Amino acid sequence: MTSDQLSLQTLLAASARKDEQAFAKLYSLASANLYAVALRILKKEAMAQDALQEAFVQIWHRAVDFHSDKGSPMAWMATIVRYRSLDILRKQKRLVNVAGIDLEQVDTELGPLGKLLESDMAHELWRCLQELNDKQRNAILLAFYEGLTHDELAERTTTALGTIKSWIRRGLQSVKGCLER
Amino acid sequence: MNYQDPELRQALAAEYVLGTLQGRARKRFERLAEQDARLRQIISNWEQKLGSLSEGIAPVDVPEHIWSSLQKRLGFTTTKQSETGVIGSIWNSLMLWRSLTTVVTIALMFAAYLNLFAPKLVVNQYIAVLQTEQQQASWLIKSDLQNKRMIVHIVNEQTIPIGKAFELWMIKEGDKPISLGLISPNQPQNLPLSDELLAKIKQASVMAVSIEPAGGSPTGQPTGPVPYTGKVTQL
Repeated sequence: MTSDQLSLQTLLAASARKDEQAFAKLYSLASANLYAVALRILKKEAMAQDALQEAFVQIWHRAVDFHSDKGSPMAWMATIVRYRSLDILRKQKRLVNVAGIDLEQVDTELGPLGKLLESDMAHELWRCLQELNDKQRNAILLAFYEGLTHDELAERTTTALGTIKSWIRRGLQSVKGCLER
Repeated sequence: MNYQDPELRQALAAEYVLGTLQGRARKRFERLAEQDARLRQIISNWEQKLGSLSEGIAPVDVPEHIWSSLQKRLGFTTTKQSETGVIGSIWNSLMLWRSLTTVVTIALMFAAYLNLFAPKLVVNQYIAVLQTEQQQASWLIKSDLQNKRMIVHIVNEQTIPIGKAFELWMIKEGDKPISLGLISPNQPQNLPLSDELLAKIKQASVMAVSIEPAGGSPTGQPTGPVPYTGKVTQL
């Protein structure tokens, strides 16, 4: 575990004891990363800021639930931000940018991310994602990073809905199998 | 659907975390998980796995006002960090977050570069590279004790809201910050240093820049956020 993750963990533990200063520092260290997560899904700054705020309210109240056996503190907080962002996103009548996506090309956009991953879990996961075929992997990454639904993925990649669903389902199954090996 | 089927439970949990389980199915699954601790465990496992992908996203600066409204919303008592809070957080953030080797390397690189153009060997200089939390260098502060000048180099231009100013501070561990005056966000400066300040710079270990009202801190101590810090290195 890196020193960054350890510090976040300490700050989360202090926040669980309602230490406002620790929470302030947690915010200053993690908010820019978490804002990026929300912005990627919601695209609009105002909405992403709402998601970020709501997520931090939850993080404050739920910090007591975090234990190191729940993975990296950043992954735990990012999950909260993603759920809030997805809620907000799904409530909008999303004006989809209907630009088509070529699932074999997406990698160039998402690829370099692998180098920025910090925790062991992230590296393992990235390795396992590389074992999938391009289409499976990119469907999963687009759903994760951009918050796309099955329908949106099907529409934007001009692929049958059933095919998208099975790529994602089987992709996730293979990832799980790979991580357990 | 048979929600006890282990494979189905895994598949639903994975797609719940991914976000592709949506609408009524998502709500139904959430209700189910509320009653089922083992299902919550499966979800939590997937959250750890997939959640780690978020580490790979490049950070984006959050506007200042978000923190203020968050504080209000949570009913925090301190809207401003106390004086020791500011100093304490400068120290902690430095100790925890700055890769000092990076700071020193950048500083030395700059110093080497500057010395190429110096007419004679420069000694007795103290430099600090001020960085943001994301380790982006903003200013290089060079205190030349021989010529009694402080030179402010711009590494990356900064922007500041109208009606605000950047104030530079030096800090000796355990002491209150001492103001070195206002610095420009985008113009290099060459400022005189008093003997009194010169003596103090020798003991300072950290420099920091806070955001203050135009004209500088009204209290003589940092009153606003402190987005930039850097370690003082003697050359």
